[in-house]
Amino acid sequence: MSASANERLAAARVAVDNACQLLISPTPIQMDRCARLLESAAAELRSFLKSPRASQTRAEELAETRSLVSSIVRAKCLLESAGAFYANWVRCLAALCGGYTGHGQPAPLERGGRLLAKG
Amino acid sequence: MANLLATLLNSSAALDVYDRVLEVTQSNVTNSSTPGYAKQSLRLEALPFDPAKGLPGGVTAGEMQSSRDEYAEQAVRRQTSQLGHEQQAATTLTALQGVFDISGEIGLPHALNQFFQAASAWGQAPGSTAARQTVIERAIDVAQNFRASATTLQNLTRDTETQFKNTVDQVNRLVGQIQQYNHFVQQSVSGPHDMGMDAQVHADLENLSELIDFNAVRQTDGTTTILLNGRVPLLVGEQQFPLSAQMAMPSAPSPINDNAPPFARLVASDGSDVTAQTTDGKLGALLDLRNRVLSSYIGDAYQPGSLNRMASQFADRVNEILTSGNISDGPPPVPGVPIFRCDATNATIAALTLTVDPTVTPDQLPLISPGPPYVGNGIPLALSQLSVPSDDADRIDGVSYSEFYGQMASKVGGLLKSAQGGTQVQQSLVAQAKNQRQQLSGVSLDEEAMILVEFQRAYQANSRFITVLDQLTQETIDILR
Repeated sequence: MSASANERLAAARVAVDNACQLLISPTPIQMDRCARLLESAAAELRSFLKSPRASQTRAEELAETRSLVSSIVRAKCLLESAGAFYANWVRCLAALCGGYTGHGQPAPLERGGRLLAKG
Repeated sequence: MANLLATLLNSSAALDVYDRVLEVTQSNVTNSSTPGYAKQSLRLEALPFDPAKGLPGGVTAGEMQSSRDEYAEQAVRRQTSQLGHEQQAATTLTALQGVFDISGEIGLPHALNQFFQAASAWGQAPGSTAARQTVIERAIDVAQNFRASATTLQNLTRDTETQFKNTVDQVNRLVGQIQQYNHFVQQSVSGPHDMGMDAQVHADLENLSELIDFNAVRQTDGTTTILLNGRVPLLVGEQQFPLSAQMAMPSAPSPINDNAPPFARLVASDGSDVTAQTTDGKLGALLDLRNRVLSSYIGDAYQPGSLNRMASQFADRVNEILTSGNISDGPPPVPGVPIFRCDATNATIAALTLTVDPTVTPDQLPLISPGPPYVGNGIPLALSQLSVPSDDADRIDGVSYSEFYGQMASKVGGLLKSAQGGTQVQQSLVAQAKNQRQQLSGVSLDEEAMILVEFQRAYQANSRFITVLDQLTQETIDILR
């Protein structure tokens, strides 16, 4: 494995680890920053997959990939947990604000959305 | 004059209210690091104001409000419970991994290799008594290593059972503490809104969540109800329902191994078995490790355990090869004798009781395989063939004995890796849940500082107002004189 390919894997892992740090406190601002970090990790991985690699350094590549996988699993769990927390929170809030529908579900909550337009 | 006095009284009452706000702020600041404490705030209410009707207005202190959010508390407890599970699994599995050495330089794999090599050396020097003696010595090593592994596993099982019992005691103790709080809350003059008690209850609930998965419900009278997995009551009001740890053999389906190690059972106060409902927390991990993981090696009521199966199958196969051979062709031919023996009455102690018959001498090891085909040194060759088996009879579960041992070791390694990874992930999830709770109900020192400054100014303004009113009142009295 060439040094640059190895560096790309390591860079992707560092980006995911940093995203995990941000996800510890998943406020909207942190989530935005986290999304940018995950995008950069994905870009590093795409570059890594395209880069030529030597087979004799396969073990190093595997070790780095394993670390990356565990970081991605951590990020996935943190994202799911934060998502579940806010989804349940919204349901609680809906029930508090609008009560329940005839079917026993919390009333739909009107909330502001965000629109991202790219030129 | 009457209005002046009313305004004076009004301002003085406002000072009392501000005093209470500052007391609440002080309590928040001093408890900002207290485990279980949630930020408090005093609701201020405006009094009716209509000078025409003689209503002077003013402010009064309303109810004290707690920012505690039970949803966030429950999220922290759920994640803490899973962290407890992963941490306990990682600790026990680290000890278990120590039983299975995979380097091949010590322990059972090493002893097996040495035995196969000794058999091979005997095959190359069939007439050598020393080579036969070495085979017996290596067989003794194999038996000794099986016994050592079984003993270590047995000790680990015993430790796990002790930890299980201690953890149940800890659970009962913590629930007992919360039961005491329930009692105090009902007796307390401050009723269900005693914030100090509330903080202690929540701190204990968080400690409890590390041990066991439960649901805590705050009742309107201020008491806490605790249910194991939402079903089995552990605490209702002042009534505690203690759990107990038991070791018992199952009755249905009927056990195959009557003398097997019993299963660990968690029993509710009504005698019902709640083991299956306890999946998270340290207790859930200990039950899983004891009843599923360790049992898979040491055996239980329904299976002998992989280590015992390997020991008895290896011993049986070696004995079978030896007894199929002849020491001499005779006539009459003199057959070989078995060397391994173990307790045949209890399949779950095969490894623990595996020994080499001390009466066997090198001369009793057979060399000749009568066949067909007849092979002069067939028995040592057959023994050495066990290391790279070509016959199904020489395999266990379709693999060689060394590979089977490797599978046992890799199973522990896989579980340990998963538990270590899970611990890392859960630590992050607990930190995340605590952060979310902090945002909702934690004390922000910056926010408290702002409140402090705000009410300090209000207090100063009101004091100044009182001074002015006092002067006005004095002047009015002087005029009236």
